[in-house]
Amino acid sequence: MIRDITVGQYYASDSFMHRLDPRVKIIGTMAFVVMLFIINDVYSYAFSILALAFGIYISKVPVEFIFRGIKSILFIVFLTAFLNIITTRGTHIILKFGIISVTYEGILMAVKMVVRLIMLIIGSSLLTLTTTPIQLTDGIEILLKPFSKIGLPSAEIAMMMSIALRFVPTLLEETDKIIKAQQARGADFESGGIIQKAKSLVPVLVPLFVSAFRRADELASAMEARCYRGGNNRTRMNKIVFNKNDYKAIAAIIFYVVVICFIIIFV
Amino acid sequence: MPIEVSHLTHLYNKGTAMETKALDDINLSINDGEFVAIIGHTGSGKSTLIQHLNALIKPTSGKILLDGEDINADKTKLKYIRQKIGLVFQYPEYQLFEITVLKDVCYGPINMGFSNEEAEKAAKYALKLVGLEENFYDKSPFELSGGQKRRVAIAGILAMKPKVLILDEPTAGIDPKGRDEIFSVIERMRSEMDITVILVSHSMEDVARYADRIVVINDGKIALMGTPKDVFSNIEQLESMGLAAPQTSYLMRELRDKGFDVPLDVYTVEESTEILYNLFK
Repeated sequence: MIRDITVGQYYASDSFMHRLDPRVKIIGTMAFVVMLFIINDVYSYAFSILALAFGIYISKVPVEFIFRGIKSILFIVFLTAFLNIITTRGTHIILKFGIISVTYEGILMAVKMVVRLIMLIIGSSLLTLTTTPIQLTDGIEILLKPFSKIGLPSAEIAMMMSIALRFVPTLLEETDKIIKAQQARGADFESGGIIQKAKSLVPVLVPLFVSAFRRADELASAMEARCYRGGNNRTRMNKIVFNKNDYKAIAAIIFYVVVICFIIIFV
Repeated sequence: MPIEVSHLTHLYNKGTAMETKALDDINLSINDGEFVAIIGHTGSGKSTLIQHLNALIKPTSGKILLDGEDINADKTKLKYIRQKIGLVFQYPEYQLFEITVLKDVCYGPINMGFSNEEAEKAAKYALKLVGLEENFYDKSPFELSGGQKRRVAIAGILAMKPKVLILDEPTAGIDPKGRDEIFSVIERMRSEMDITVILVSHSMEDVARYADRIVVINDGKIALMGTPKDVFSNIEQLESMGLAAPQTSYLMRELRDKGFDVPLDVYTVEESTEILYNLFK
């Protein structure tokens, strides 16, 4: 069950998208996310969906793999839709229950929010699906570099992120193991009310925390033993280089942003 | 409570590109009071097999019968099965979580529906069996030594009063003294609780010394099965599977090559001591 979560996972392949410079992908994703919050009309929505579809196509990640990731956030999506429907005020009332009225504007708003949310999730998971955690943090480190002049420890932030990402699968595996071990001792995670369920998680969470701290401690010792001393003058094994494809991708991102701006201003 | 495994097959990631056959048509029966050892190299399917016996993993096909009843037939009976078949995972000390040792050992029995008094009684009995006396009851499990933690974790399973005890490499990462203690616990359980033991191990010496029967698993199939003498006589086959016979049998072979008249089927230190003593007397 835990393994169904695809948000943040990497899908190994060798597509155009996978080979892109991580910086380009990060900037592209950021541009896409920002655009998602300013688009408002049918045309810009349609164009964004088209752009996203094109991104999925060139990433060569199977569509069903991408959509499996949405399953885990379906609840949030439905909740958003529901809240939008019941709280948006409008003039075209369709249904009315007491003080709550369902309006045409509300439904339209809900549809927009749902589409926006799903695109947001897919867009950002496309980044992690096609970029290894190491590339991702390298990219972030370089992008944050200019801020180190004002005291932002970009190398340290990147190191923390890569460690955090590195331990996600390890901790998932560990959780799985502890759950099984406690089930073997008769633990029941399914029955009972919310309080009972929350209580039943204690035997999983305590060992999980203990082992996370133990691992952190071991890792710190191992890093110290190898003379880790922060980001100063550290060189990297794989230099990130810009090539022709990256310029193409940048051109595509700029094209997308310009078209969206054009639609918003003139249509 | 005899266990009968019939035609057990398990596929991981069924229906995806990563589909792998972890177990392939396993047939095995384990009798009451037996001490069965399961050996096999890493990734051979041992752990998958023992998790099936505890109904933690469901078979892709095939059945596991406990007392003639399919353990996966009735979901409401899962607790009963997990009580009767106790499973001690590898590195079980990582599952400790309670504030005190006694409370942690009580966790299993209380889940199994024991009353508080019963659970406490069972926990104290189990702790005594693993050699931890009263002064340990109120200590935090996190302040114990590695070997002590492991014994607390084993007590946590024993307190549920299982009929069958499965141990997955109970001596991994433990010093020789701790290892001897754990094996003496197993021996004590066998004599006091009349328990069936299934041991997964990488130590051929331990297996040769304690097991009535050895099951060798290779690539998800049972490759060899029999008494330690039967199994370890197939040294070449074991080696081809990345396993080995106990050290003493290699010693005997060397001696035989050098012209000494020694038997080859010697698999425990005790036996070989006696033979060597007689040889050089």
